[in-house]
Amino acid sequence: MDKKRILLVDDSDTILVFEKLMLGSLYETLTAKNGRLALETALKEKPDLILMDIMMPEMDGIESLRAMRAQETTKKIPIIMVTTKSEKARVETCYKLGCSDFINKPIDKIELLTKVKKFLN
Amino acid sequence: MDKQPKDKSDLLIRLFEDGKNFTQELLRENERLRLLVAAQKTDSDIKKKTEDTLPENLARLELENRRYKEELEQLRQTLTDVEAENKEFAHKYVSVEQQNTSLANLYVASYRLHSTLDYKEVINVIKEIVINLIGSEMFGIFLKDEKLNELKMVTHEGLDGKKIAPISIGMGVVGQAAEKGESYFSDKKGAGDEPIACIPLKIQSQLLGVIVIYQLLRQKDGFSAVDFDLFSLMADHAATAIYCSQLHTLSERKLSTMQNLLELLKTEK
Repeated sequence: MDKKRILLVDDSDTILVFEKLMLGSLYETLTAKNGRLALETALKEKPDLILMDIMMPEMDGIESLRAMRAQETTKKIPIIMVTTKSEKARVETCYKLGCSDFINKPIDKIELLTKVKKFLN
Repeated sequence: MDKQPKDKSDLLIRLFEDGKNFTQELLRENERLRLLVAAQKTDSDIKKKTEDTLPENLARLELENRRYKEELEQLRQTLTDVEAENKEFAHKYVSVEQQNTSLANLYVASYRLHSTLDYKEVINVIKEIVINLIGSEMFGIFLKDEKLNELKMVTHEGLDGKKIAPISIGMGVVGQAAEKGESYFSDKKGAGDEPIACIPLKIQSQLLGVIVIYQLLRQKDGFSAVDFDLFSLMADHAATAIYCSQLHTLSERKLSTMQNLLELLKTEK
């Protein structure tokens, strides 16, 4: 049975290595280092789930989320925002734009696995 | 004369018929009563039998009841034991998961620190570790100036860099941590004005610098066991990574100088 595919989006290699370590044995992982590359990869690869950082250069996570929700190919892909900045206003904006859930950094392994499993099942 | 015998015979016939009817009725009544008596006798027999076996049945039921009570008690005890085992298993699971997370963090930090020899990248990796794995939004990385014997900030996150002046070794919380070579931790979550953690970066006993944390992320309550493991790793590995990158920069510079010199000599020839 083919593994589900997760697109990991973060400008920090440390976080990408961490997320790959947590998820790599259960799922196939793709990576992107900013919002623009994330959008291109998502349109091309159509992953089953996206883990998106917010603060990134070139195109941040919120803009990337907005762009993905405007595209037919990507508008239904579950997107979990992974961020250090979880102010109420920002959280509300993300939910209004259509994000599926939030994970705060530093990432808790059990929370990450639980939420990923929830959206991939 | 004929009329009288006729009346008499009618009377006799009627009497005989009445007698016959009466007898039949008596026989029917007798049969009914006989059946009634038989039924009552049967009931009485059953009742007697039941009464006779009642003590025996009662004793049997009491024994069964005692046995079921004992079984119930055993099952309750087994359930309590299984619940206790489950709890213990859950605690062990949580402990193992925490260790796994800790090991994962340590692996990622170590892997990243030693993945590059470029000085700027090493400093950036240290920043990423402190922001993303430890969870701080206000911190500074200080390196020791050997000539002036003070700590100078080389990078920071969330601070106004100009406001943080160089710190003399031995002065204040940071200076003292640097002098002793021992980490300092505060119980407070941090409001950004005072250090809540100072982690000296050392190679053996030689101080290279200090990581100073002033404030944690909003969603983080305080330092956990995983964080202290990371601090221990950073104290050695971050120092080694910085030192190696500085040596690499120096050797690259020297190599470049020598290459230029060789080029010059070749040209002169």
